[in-house]
Amino acid sequence: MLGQLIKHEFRATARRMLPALGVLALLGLLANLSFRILDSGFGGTPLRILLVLFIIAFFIGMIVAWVMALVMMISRFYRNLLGDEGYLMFTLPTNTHALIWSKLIVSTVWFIATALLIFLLMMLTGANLARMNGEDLAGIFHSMGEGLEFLRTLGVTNGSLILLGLEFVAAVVVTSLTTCLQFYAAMGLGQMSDNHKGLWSVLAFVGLSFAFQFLGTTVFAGLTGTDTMNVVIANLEELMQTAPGIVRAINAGIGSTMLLELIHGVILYLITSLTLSKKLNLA
Amino acid sequence: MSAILECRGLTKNFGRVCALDAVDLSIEPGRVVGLLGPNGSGKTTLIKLANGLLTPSAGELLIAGEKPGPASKAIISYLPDRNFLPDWMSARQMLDFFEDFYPDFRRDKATEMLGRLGIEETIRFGQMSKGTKEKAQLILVMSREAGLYLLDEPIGGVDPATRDFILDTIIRNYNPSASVVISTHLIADVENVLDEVIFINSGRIVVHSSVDEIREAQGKSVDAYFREVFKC
Amino acid sequence: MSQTFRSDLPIYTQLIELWQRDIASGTLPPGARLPSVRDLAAELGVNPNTVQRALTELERAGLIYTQRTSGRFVTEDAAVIARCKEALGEGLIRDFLAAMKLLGYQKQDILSLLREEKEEES
Repeated sequence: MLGQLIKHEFRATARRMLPALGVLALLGLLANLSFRILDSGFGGTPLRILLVLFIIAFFIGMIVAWVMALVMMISRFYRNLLGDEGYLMFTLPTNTHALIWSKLIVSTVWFIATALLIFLLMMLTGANLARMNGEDLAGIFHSMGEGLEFLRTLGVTNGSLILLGLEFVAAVVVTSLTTCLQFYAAMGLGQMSDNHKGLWSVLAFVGLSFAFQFLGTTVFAGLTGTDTMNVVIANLEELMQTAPGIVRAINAGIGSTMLLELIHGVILYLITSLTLSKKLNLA
Repeated sequence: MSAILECRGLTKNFGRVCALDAVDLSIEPGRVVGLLGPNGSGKTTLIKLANGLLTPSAGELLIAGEKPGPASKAIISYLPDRNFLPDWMSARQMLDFFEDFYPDFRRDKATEMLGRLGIEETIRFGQMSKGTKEKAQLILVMSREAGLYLLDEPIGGVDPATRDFILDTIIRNYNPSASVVISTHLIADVENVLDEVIFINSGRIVVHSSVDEIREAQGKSVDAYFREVFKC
Repeated sequence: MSQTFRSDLPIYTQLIELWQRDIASGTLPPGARLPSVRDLAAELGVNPNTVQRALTELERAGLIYTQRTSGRFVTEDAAVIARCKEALGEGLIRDFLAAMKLLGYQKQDILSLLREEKEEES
């Protein structure tokens, strides 16, 4: 059932996201072409203004794509589950978990797709600008390789670098899931109200953010100065002495942050699934 | 025969408002049941509880012996009192959707009925009139071979031709192992297709009887009897 | 959904009367095959269980019979049909006489009125 839900969720979101990402890619190419033409000194003032506008449009487009992915994530949940369409979705022979996960997975895929496209377009732009400044691309890659080689001579293993990469990917996924769930949990709480569901959702969002911030600060403040914390800080200071140690410290840093984010996510998920199963209150 | 829908002391409160008050009810398979009552009497609340869209405040509701969940949702075909069709979807995409989620969905049946009403499968719901969307939704719901059809106000605000189509569809779709519950306040229109009626008022069941019994015992139509019971 | 029903009687009893009349008058000839319950119900715009109930009653009275594989048929027994026709006719006469009595007619007056009516016809 989850597979079917995901399939239809893609069908519903792709009709907006694919054209948006397509336009962004086109803007990226146009912007890079514009850089080249501007650099070559070709054309009169009107054309040059147009070219500058293309470049500006590309940068705005990147922001718009992000906002769209975010708005899509929120509106799909609100309209498809909590609006009139919810009468269809919540009477499907499936459970609430599958409904939530289908939304989570598809939103995360679009976030990552958007991020990946922006990353690729930025790389392209970077390379393009470097070429225009007369830098040799092969040279840039070569110096990047030298940098890695240098790290290795300092004793940083390939394994720890790969681990770092994997941790980064995992962190991206967990952050995306938690971001979605922060909105979902707020909307799950907001829909319990008999009227003003939207308003209560916004208030719930603010309330949840505040609560978790407060919780985080309190825990951190509580830990500061304790023996355990002092030991941790001492260990970190020792690690920071060597390059492999620094990499390990970063590993540990990302790892522990991710663990906290995961706990945060689980709590939000429980709020979402409980409000949508036990306290469902469709308008 | 065991009941397809059963309520025991079913109660639902919204804040301080009591929408259903300790309802005991049992509906057997193979029946066409009219759930009749004025607006705000608790008809929609009862149907939403049966669909698991609301949870009881007290008591319980069982569908074929089980609490509402994925299993009960697989055998219930539900026509809500509102439109659930997304504007961006075409009828054909919705047929795909129903086919994917409901093993009991008969696509050929739906296609045939859409064709009979002249509804193009390629047209998006956003481009259809309100009445056409209502018909399309009914066709989707009635094209399932479900165990229990819960139709919330299917004939409220439709033209006479559509009303006849709806009633005809319900009759033609009749199956001795399935039950149909039709909630409405337009009794005269549905009276002839009903086996039994449930009168509901202020969250309580006032009358639960067969249509024949009412006509025999009262010597009047269910519609007339309803007016008598509910006269204020 | 052309059929209209009286609202003060159960529909199944009205269906029984309707089909009794059709069989007695020959509108439904002996041996005629009846449509399926579903089709009858759809055609009349009534509940299939109601149709089923009326047919069961007719079957009990011997006016129709069921062949397990091929459906329901009007009886070919002329005596049964004649009895049904007789019963319907008696019922009509009873109702007629009761109505006339309410109007104050005596049996003799009624007979002479009927004779006059017959002469006008011929």
